[in-house]
Amino acid sequence: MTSDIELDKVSFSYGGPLVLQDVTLAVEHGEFLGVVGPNGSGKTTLLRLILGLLEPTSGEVRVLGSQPDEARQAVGYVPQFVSFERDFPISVKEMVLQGRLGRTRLLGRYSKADHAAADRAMEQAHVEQVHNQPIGDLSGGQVQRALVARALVTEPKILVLDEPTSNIDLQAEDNIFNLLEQLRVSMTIVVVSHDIGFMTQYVSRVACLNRTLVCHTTSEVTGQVVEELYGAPVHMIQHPHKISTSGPAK
Amino acid sequence: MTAFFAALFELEFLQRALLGGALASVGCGIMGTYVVVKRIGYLAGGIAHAVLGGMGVAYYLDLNPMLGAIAAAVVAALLVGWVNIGSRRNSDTVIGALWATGMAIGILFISRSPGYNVDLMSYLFGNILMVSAGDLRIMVVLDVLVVVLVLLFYRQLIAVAFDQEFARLRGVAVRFFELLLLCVVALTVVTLIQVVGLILVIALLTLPAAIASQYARSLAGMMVLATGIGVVLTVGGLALSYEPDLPAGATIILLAGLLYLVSTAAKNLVHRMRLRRLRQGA
Repeated sequence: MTSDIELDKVSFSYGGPLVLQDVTLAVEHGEFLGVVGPNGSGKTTLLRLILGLLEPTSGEVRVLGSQPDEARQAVGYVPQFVSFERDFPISVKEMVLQGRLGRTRLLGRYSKADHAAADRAMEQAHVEQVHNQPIGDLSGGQVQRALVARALVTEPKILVLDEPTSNIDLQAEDNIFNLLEQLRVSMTIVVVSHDIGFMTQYVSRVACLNRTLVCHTTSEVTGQVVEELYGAPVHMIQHPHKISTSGPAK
Repeated sequence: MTAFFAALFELEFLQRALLGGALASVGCGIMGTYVVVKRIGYLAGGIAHAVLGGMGVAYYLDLNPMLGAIAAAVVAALLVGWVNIGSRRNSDTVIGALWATGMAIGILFISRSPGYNVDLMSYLFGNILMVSAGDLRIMVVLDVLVVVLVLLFYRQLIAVAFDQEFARLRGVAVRFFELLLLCVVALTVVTLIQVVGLILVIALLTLPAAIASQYARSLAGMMVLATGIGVVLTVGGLALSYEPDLPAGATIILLAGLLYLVSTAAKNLVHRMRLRRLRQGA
């Protein structure tokens, strides 16, 4: 059986120097992969290659055995917080319903099935209480969960998240990863983040990226690896309440 | 004011003006909402001014200036949309260039037209009192087009306006809908030119929608509310300008600006009072 996501010697440049070089990576079905790396390390570029929004300069990307842009319908995408205006007059439910666009009829309104799917996804992501509120009224953590609901409503086989915790507080961050922990039983998950210390407690595998794939480990990310990745000593902040309940994922 | 309503029953041109204002309000309410939430006011302004080029050429060739305006508006929209989609970097400059060169073309052609007697002022500032039955018919057609398009593709248009990348990933033809949206904005601009002229179009396109955005909770609600506000503003402006014989377009815009100011100030005041009450309660 093939892997859900396969990158074979992928390099990419926006026209200047290479942003990614010779990245080879396979994500198996049911894996929860964390991609970490400093700013400008090519994390988001890697994501956009998987989504088929960019094409590799050399090498090949395959998602579920097909070209990435052909596999899009099976990939749920949670963009960075900042990709839209907060004051846009749209309710949580209306936003979540947008996830149905590829699956529903072309003209007119959303069907009953679309509404049912949206209700289910909002329940899963715990935003059903605020479904009628404009997104501008939500907290950062709630917006992030609503974005997860919008991705879930597409009924994805693979869930891809870009910096899901960059604009929210620790408690909300905890909630997001708990939510992903529940979801991982039914789908493959790829999370991109620069927040290495926290994420490594949840994921099943970490890929460290800095133009090339620096490390690729299922064991704990050590201080030495982080230093190698960021090119300088980095303070890893541990969250004590987590350590007592569950250790780093093995 | 009373003289206006008395005259309304007798004078056909006033009835036409009133109807023209209402028809323009439908387009400006619906498309203005997109312009406001997508923040493409400058782009719409560029299209509005470039339209003078088409009107000038049509006038020179002795065609109906409205048709020239429609052609120029669509060409301008496609041009800007094409540049805008290709790369966001230089769209600002392109819009500026389109804005000024369009007007320059218009002025050159009008100056070369036989018997240079066209009232340039009525293109620039509109004259709602001169709206003809033919103009009204064109406005009805454009309004129907706008309403039908929005009813059919409401979900796609909202998705493209809200989060283009996500829409593309869901298989929405983003490029097509983006260009469609710009073309329909351009056509709406043409209907509004009749009422307030191409210089003031931007105010009527954005102010009712901006006022509505302060109260609406959904895009559809914003469209309906903006249309209603547009009707109130055009009728109100027409009525206020009638007796003292003021330019109707300018009066309508001034009224719109005032309402926007009052609404924004009121909204701010309510917000502050609520904050103060919260602080006192704590």
